Amino acid sequence: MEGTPVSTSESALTEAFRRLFSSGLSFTRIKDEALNDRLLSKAGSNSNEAPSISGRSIAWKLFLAKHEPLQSSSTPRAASLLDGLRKSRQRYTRLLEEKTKPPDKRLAEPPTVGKTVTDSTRNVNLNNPLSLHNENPWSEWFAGLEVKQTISQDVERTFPDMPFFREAEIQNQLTNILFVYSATHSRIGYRQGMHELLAPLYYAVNFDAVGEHASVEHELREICSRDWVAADAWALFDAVMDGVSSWYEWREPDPRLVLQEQQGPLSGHVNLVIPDGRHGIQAWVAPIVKTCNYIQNDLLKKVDPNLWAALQKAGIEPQLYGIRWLRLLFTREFDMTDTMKLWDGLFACDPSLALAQWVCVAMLLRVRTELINGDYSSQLTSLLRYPSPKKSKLNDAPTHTCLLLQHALTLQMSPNPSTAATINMENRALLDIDSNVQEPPASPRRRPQVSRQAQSSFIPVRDRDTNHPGHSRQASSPPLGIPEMLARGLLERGESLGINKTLLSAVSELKRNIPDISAFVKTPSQGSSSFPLEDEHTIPERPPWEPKSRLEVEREMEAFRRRDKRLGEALGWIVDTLLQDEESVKDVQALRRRRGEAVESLAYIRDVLISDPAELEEDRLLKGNSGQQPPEKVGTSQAEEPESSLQQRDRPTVIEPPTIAPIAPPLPVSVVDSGSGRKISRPPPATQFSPNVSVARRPASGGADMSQELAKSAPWNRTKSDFNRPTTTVLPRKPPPTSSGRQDSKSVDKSREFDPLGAVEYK
Amino acid sequence: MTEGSNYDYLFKVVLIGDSGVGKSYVSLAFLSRFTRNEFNLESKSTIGVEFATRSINVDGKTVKAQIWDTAGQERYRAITSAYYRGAVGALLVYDIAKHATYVNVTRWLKELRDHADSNIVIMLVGNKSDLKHLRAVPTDEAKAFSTENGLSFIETSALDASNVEGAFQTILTDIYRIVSAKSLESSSTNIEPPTQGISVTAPEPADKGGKCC
Repeated sequence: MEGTPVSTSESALTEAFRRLFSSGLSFTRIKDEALNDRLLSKAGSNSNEAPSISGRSIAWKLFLAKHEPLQSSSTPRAASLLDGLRKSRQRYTRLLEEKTKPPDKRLAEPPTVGKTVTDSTRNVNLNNPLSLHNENPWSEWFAGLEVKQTISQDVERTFPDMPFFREAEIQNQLTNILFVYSATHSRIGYRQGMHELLAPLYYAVNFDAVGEHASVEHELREICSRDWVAADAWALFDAVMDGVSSWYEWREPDPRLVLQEQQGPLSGHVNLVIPDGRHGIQAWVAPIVKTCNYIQNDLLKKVDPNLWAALQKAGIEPQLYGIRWLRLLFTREFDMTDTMKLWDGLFACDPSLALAQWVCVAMLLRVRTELINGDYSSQLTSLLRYPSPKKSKLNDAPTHTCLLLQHALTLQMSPNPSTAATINMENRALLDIDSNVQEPPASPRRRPQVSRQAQSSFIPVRDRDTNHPGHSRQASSPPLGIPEMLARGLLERGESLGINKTLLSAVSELKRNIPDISAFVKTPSQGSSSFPLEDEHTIPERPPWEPKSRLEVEREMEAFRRRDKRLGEALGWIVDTLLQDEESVKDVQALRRRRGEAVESLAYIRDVLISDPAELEEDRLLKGNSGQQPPEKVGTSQAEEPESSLQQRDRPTVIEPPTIAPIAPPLPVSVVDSGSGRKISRPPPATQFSPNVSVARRPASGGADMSQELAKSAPWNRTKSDFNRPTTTVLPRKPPPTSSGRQDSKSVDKSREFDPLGAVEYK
Repeated sequence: MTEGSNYDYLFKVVLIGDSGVGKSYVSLAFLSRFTRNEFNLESKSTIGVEFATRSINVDGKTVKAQIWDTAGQERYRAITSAYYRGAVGALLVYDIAKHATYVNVTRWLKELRDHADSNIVIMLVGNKSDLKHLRAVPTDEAKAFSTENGLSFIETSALDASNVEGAFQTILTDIYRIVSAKSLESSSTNIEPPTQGISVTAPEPADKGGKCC
């Protein structure tokens, strides 16, 4: 393609290629990097401007590859990607030949033995441009010309502000690709919008394209071959359409096709009959409408009932905005640069693009204020002219697309109002989005809340009825404490992000940061009143299922905090090891070995912080530490062992409960106790704790004599320690269910195990 | 001419017609009050729905127009009912340089009959009148067709914005006249807003209409 306005930097491309294929990154890591907008910016050009990032098309080819199922643990291989590309290139060439050549040109193939004379291609009565016969290949050809005209009408209007798409040759290629797609997917054909889905794909492939004589590795040259730009763009488009095409379906499938595809002739109809108030019975509802309804009336309703109610009240039909958002995968809502970043994450997450629905929900949450405060016109305006996001206030903050992806993922994992509240706060904090929802409803809200409290969240009804002093105290404090904890968890996460970066930068800075880490491990005991989230949590319409979901988030935060603590502890010995003076040690070799191990553990900590795995591998975290253990303990292979020895060394004066924890009773016992009030019948096994520890840790089981103790310790303190105790026991072998939100039945079970406040008693 | 919530009447007007006849241009030219050659020659194809509002003055009353613009390629089954619901006016646009788009006008009229309020005010708009040398649809023919079918008719050029303002002014005035006549009628028996015939999307106009006499 001569005269393309973009110039490919070969070195940047090579760098991206190596990063993908020869840096030893696993698929999981690559996906994570893509999600966090780190995959390409490092390797790519220095500017984040424009969509000029080298190597993006390789990553997309990798994510969307149909031939090789992504093995999350393995590393991608360029050879297998290339195999797939070769096949798809051949296929495109063949299809292009087949679908775009007029029938008389196709006659050129020699007659095959066994074909009868009545074969339609040989029969001149059938096969001539003027024949009116149904099987005349020319009628298909002429119909194709019409489609082509429709396509080029849109292609000419593709991204009018980008000179790249004004070139006749590019437009020609785009038209061909779309035509081949429509010819091979006759049920959908070509629909407006596909052109805009294809354009960024084509742009990215073309941007990375290199000529035959480019001075890059052989495999890279073939993957990014300039000769195959159109074929590769078609392959990507075809793969993307696998996820998107249903949203373009616009006519009822041919009953004959339905017959073929489904077991019985009726199943398709029976399932799809949905009465429509205006037109009587409609046999078929377009999938896009179903999806849009699902997004607004199921997903959004679940995570933000207030916002849903506002849209519902105004009568906003979800397909009004959903059609464009989904069919174009947000190209109109964001500019090209941001769209491509968003696509990085979408493709990386799931080639079927299931995440897109949650991106829609996250986008709705982002304009929540306008939607709740506005009237019908302004609501529609916000949705149909989606406001471009403000620049983030913080320098280090993730880009808004990145944030959107994270939000979508979080929502997907734990779809509940707490997540939405957290997201709203993050939006306000990072994107400076005004979250002042109209005040009037706020004050009347408060009053019903008190009476509702019993059913609404954390206090079992019968506990309130018993009027036990200990219980009534518990009844009043946790509802205040929990939102604060939640939010603090969020802030800590943000904080930890900042810290993580510093950690990555240099080992020498480690020491400086460790106080920060321990500081945020301890934050639950710090200032609480500044928390502005209360409105979000005193919603009168709180549905009965919310306590569980709130707990889930709480648990997630707790898991974060716990993990961070573990990391902090591990960093402790790493730093100690690294700071040890060679002269002061006799066995220099051993020290060096330990240092090596410390660096390995450090690398693992980095990986944990970047990729955020569900569970920590303790042995990798404490790799070298075992060497420091006293000789008599070396033999023990208990997972708790390294941790306890570590803590004893670091803080010899403080007796940490976790060290005793292994023999503590399982938590479910204590939950049952506090819930049913039969605390005396099963006294806490206090013999295993020092007295003050057991008081602080088991507030619910204490009598009136403990109230002083309780008054001193804030509710979250108690909560935290209750969390801490059993989980440190469990952690090494059984990770906490941080992301099990999707499997509701399971998460309920787990919440019984982990529930410190007895809230699940409600269920 | 105030924007925002200070208006006497709120009318929903939809734009329909084949793909590429310039519906979005017409809408844009009206909404942004361009005079001449002020906007980009190229515009993206509309996907789904576009929506905007502008208030104009009719007979001393502030009329807020909600302009709905949709893709022409398909009669979006997905959004048809939402699109036509509450619409009191329709601009049926064709391209004077493309006869096929004029032929399809009858199909669009059928669509309106099927999905929109039976009293919807329809205006036939021959767009791209600047392309005189390419004209494929004679003005007289379109005018005769309009009279036959009870439509008003105008030729516009969104490119130089000629007649665009006029087109909207005309259709909004027509709607206003009908609505205020309806309120007059109903006011003799009932002060409540008219519930049939032309449906008005906001309650305000009917109230005022009822009181004004």
